[in-house]
Amino acid sequence: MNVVAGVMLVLGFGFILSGVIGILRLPDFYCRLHAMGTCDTLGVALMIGGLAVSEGFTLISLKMLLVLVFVSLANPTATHALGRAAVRAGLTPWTRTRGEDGQ
Amino acid sequence: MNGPDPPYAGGSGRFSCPGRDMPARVGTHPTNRSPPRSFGLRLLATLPLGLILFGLWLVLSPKWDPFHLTLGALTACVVALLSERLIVQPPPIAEPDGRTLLWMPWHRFALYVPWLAVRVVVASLQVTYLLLHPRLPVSPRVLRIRARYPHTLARLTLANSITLTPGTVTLDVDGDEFLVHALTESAGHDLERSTMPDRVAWLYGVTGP
Repeated sequence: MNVVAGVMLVLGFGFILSGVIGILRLPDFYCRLHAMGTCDTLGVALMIGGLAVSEGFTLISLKMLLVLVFVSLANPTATHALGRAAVRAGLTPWTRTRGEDGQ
Repeated sequence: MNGPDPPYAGGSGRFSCPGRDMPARVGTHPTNRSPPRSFGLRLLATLPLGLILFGLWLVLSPKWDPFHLTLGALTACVVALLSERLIVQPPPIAEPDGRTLLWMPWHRFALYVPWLAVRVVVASLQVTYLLLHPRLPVSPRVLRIRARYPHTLARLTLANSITLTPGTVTLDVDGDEFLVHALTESAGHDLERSTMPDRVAWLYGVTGP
């Protein structure tokens, strides 16, 4: 059980780390939204899952699974809110053909 | 969530993204409003919500003695009655024929959620590969998806599912149209060919896009 939990925690950490690297490397705001989405969906799911496995089936692990459900509902909503605000503000998406400034 | 019409409904085209060659917009979905139902029916529809809230109380509160159970039951009742108009009444997220969403086929979630989870894992691996690739081979694009649903909850589910899948983010929803930002060309193509809109329609037992 501890091995499974450890593997899940390390994998979750890896996904969150790659998300952070993505936020640093990607060219514009919209792309960085994707990086955030990755670390929040799979990374957080794996970490909470790993903690729940190491805890065993108790009331506490049930609470952790509830946290997972709420995160997976709230995270896309927050991402969408950020993206929509950017669209409303008129931020032009970066594309490879248009070059760095997006114009 | 206090009215059937979002401020941008009706084809004012406010979410046009400057300078992009996007497909032309098409018509928006008419908003349905069914007549209000009787107090008894509304109370009956509130009951499942109260039970769900009480279950949540049981999980979150470790003290299962009569005093705290009574407190939880009372709280669940009050919250269910106060939030009843958000969930049960017609305009925001109910079906146009007046059935409340609490009577929808909930068991289909048991099939939809694992399918979505697999999609999320596959797409996560693809996006992680992109992020760690030395040349960072992203080719972002903006696309429009059309999906016609009779109620807002189905639109919300599709928009959230798209955003939850790494590589695609829903930027805006206007009637039937979903404005989506895709991290790569192939992520956009995958979404355009995806069965996700049909699955959401099946999930709520409504006619699809």
